[in-house]
Amino acid sequence: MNEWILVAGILTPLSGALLLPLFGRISAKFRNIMALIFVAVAFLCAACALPGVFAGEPLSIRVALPLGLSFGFCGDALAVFMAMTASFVSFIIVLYSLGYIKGYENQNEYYMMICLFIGAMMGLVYSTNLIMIYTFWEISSLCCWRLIGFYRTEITVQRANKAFIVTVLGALIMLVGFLGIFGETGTFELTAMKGTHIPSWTVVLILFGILSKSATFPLHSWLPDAGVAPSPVTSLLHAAVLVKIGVYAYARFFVLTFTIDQAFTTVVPIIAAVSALISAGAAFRENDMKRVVAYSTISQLAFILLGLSCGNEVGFVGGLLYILAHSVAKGGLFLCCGIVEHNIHTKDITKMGGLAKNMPFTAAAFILCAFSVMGIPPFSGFYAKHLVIEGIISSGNVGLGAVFILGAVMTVLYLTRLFVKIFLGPQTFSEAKEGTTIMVVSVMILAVMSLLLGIFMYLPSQLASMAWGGM
Amino acid sequence: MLNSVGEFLSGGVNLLLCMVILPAVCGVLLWLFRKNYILQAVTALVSAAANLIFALGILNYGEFSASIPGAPFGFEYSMRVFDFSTRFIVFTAFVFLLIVLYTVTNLKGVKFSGLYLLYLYLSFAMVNGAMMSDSLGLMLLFWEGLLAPLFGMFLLGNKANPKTAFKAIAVQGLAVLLLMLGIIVTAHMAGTSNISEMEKLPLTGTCLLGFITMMLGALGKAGSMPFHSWTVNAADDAPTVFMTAIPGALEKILGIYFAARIIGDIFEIVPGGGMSIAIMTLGTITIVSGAAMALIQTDMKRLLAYFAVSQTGLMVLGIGIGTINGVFRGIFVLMNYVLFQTGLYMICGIIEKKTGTTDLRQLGGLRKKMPVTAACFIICALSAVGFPGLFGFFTNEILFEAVSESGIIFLVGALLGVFLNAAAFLKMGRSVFFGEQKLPADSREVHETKAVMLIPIGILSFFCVLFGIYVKLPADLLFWGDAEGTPQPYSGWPRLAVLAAVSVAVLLLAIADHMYGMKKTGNALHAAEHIHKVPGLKSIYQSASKGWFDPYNWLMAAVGGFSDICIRIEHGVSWIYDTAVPGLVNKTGKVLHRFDNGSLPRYLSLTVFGVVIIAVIFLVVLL
Repeated sequence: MNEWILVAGILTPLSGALLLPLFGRISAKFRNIMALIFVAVAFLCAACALPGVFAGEPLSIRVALPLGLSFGFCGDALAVFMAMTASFVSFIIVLYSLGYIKGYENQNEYYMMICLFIGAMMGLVYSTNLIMIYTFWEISSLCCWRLIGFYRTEITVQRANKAFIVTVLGALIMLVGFLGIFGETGTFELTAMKGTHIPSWTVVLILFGILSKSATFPLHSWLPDAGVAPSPVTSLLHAAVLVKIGVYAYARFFVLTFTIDQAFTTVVPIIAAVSALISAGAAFRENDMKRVVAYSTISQLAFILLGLSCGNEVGFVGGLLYILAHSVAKGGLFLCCGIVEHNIHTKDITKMGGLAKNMPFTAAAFILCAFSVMGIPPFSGFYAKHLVIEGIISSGNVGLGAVFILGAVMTVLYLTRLFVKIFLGPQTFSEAKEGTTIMVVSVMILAVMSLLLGIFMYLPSQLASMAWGGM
Repeated sequence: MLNSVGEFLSGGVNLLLCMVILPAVCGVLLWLFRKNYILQAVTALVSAAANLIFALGILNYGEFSASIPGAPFGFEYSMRVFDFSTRFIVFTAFVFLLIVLYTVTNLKGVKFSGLYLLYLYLSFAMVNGAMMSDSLGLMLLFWEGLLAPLFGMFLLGNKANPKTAFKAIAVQGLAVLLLMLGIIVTAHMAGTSNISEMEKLPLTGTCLLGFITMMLGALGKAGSMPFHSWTVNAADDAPTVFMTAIPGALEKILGIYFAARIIGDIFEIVPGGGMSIAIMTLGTITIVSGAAMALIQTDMKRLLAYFAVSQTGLMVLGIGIGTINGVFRGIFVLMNYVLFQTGLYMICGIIEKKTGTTDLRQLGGLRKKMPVTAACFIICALSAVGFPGLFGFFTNEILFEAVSESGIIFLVGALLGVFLNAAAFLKMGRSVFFGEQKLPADSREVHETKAVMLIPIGILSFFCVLFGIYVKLPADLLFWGDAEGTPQPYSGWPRLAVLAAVSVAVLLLAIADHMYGMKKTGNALHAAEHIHKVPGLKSIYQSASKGWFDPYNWLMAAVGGFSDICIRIEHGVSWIYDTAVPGLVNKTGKVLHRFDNGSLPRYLSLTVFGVVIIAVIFLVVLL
């Protein structure tokens, strides 16, 4: 019976999303509260699956379909880790949206798409079937497309189309890879394929999907452009959830399920290194604050990919912990940018300055989240970044470790520059005010969480370590 | 009593609680008490004194280890205190108590006093933690954790001018991340991250990378070249209390402590080998360039900041010798440095508070108005330049003895540094305390500062004298036992009389040079102008003033150039997505549209063509 908790965790936000426009017609407040509840249920369901993971008996359900087909969900350590991370950050983002999005049109669609998206994410992480994963993958692309184009202006629609085309095209190529695996194994069930060696051409095709979703160079171009979306959307899609789908898929397929050629443990880290450095360089030159944070996301995702792909436990655990640390901290950074943009109506950092005086809480939350992304202890990013680099060095790639240290130096530089340009220096917008209470509380929660997660890193690291043990 | 304290600290997590968490909690309390000065001051002093008692308790109790539970995967929270680290901990605790005494009196009525004390105590907690860590990962955690309070301190009352804060974070961030790389590589090569479990690693292959990056990280914290320039900018922007505590004392102690451990405990450095020569060369360059820049400064704080850089060079020179004796001689220099430099920064702060400026051009004749401060300045300054009879003389001499055995060029560099530093101090001392008073008439009512502010500088000056008269005391404190691996017992008097005579001659030369400069210009402030204007040196000084020798500028230029390349690549990729691909699709569409003209034969031809293509593909696949 407990297994149905997983289904509840998926279906509540998925089906609830469809009801939200209806609730919106009754009362906007009711709709907002229900949206929050649906996301909270997703988190609680994931949390309920935790005891099973620690007991070594993860919740699992498998439903047989006609024609010998089936689908299943499994709440193993990796799935629960991802589900809890994504749903927690999403909950805070929905909370923040209550303050940010009011006053805009299309709110019914906004909340519907957000919930649908979170439901798809839950479905994707729990699924044990490649076709189900693909289905949820595409639902997330659809939500992403509608949410990026939320403002319905020409430029936002163009950028939404770009994101949609790149990620869907990547997913279609990945689907061909899935079919290739089916051709080799005769099944789409991941549990039945554990330890199976898959041909390199299928790995390459699947990597197209993964790298396009996790915005890795050169398939990353849609991510900085998607900064035209409302800030909670950019936070949700590009920091907390969407881009993490790609790296999750890498961990699920190429670390925990299939065995792949050894060459990929060199090639993928090299791709990650190029992505980390180029995006970090671009972040240092960019003057649009949301683009800076987006480039930073690309760069940090490369750290995650590096950890997951280096082929040892230390790197893998580091990669997973970095998913958590980055989701929380980067979510906070995007939301802080949202407060600033909401107040002064510009994203150009060359026009900003001295906003710490007007927005002290936002400034404090921003710098705390930035410290975590920079990897300054005791923030959570420190442990994760340390383990990722230790992982790559343990695998014998000292040179790549050094390259990523350069990436980390660049991270310190561009995030400090961003903070300095926005919040310090001569005051430019003397009329600017702090964000609404709910928005400020949201960013403060994420900032404090970045710190607390670091202090109590022992707990998530246990779960991440169990994910590796589940191999 | 001290034994009971030590015994208590050796149990479970008590060491961490009392030496790290307690100062951090006190910092929070000091911030909460920001509106009640008395409560704040009492709490600050009591907690600093308690920390000193804890440190003495550890010293009294002896060596022990502690394992802290709750370490995340891949980390081990192991701490260890032993003879070497304990002496550093006690010394740091003692200096910190004096710094707190000075700080609380200096910050009375200052708006940001609560936050400043919070950051100061957090920094102190991190320094304690780093010095007690046995695990390199845990040490890195404390070490890197210093960045956040450092950034916070820079922004206090200085939010409108964040350039130095950015520079400090950039430089320190680079040094810290290099250290991270070094630590990971070293732990990987050693097979353990606990220093006590490591066998000394050879300086070859990957280990060499670990050594270089760790050493750069340690020297970056100590403020050696090429990581020194932010401390000079801090002299312009940061309050003197900050200069006294952070770059002046805590960071220097931590950096040199770890550099000593790298050489003493982790790596097998060959005296006279490539790495030893490289470190000594870096030390010599740091000594000479720091002293040369100190000589041309016209601001007290900047002059002291450059002088601190030069002194770091002396410590690096000693450590670079690569023997346990060399390391301890470097640390001996550090000991002297912390005493006089902390005193000098405090004096600088008092003068700034009383006169409103540290600009040498506006100061003069303060000897009569502030006699105690002037006396303390003279003692600290004489100890700083190694005047016979004071502590600095002995620390310099024992260092020079060891250096002279490693290479005469290094000794010449060190002596040149002494000459330049002495000239700089003569210029500063005479400009501030002698001659005519130059302050504007409305601010000439300067008088001696409060006794409570004089206590710490008095104590520091006293130790400069005491350790000069009775040099066996600090020597015994630092050089213990005669077991294998510990340095040779120090006799208490320079062994090489010739070397001591040369050092004295260099000081006399500096005095003569100053007198010559005075005679030529009639002004102490310009007494070093003739050195400044030496052909060849003038252009070097001009280039230095423009920041051409500032490694931070090189770093930023490199980062800027790299970022330009990256943004071009990025634009290129965007062009493919935004222009090339849509253009190709549109053009293809237009071409295909031409076939769509309603002609049945054309459609049939296309169909046949398509079938042929598919058939070819099938054939290729099947064959």
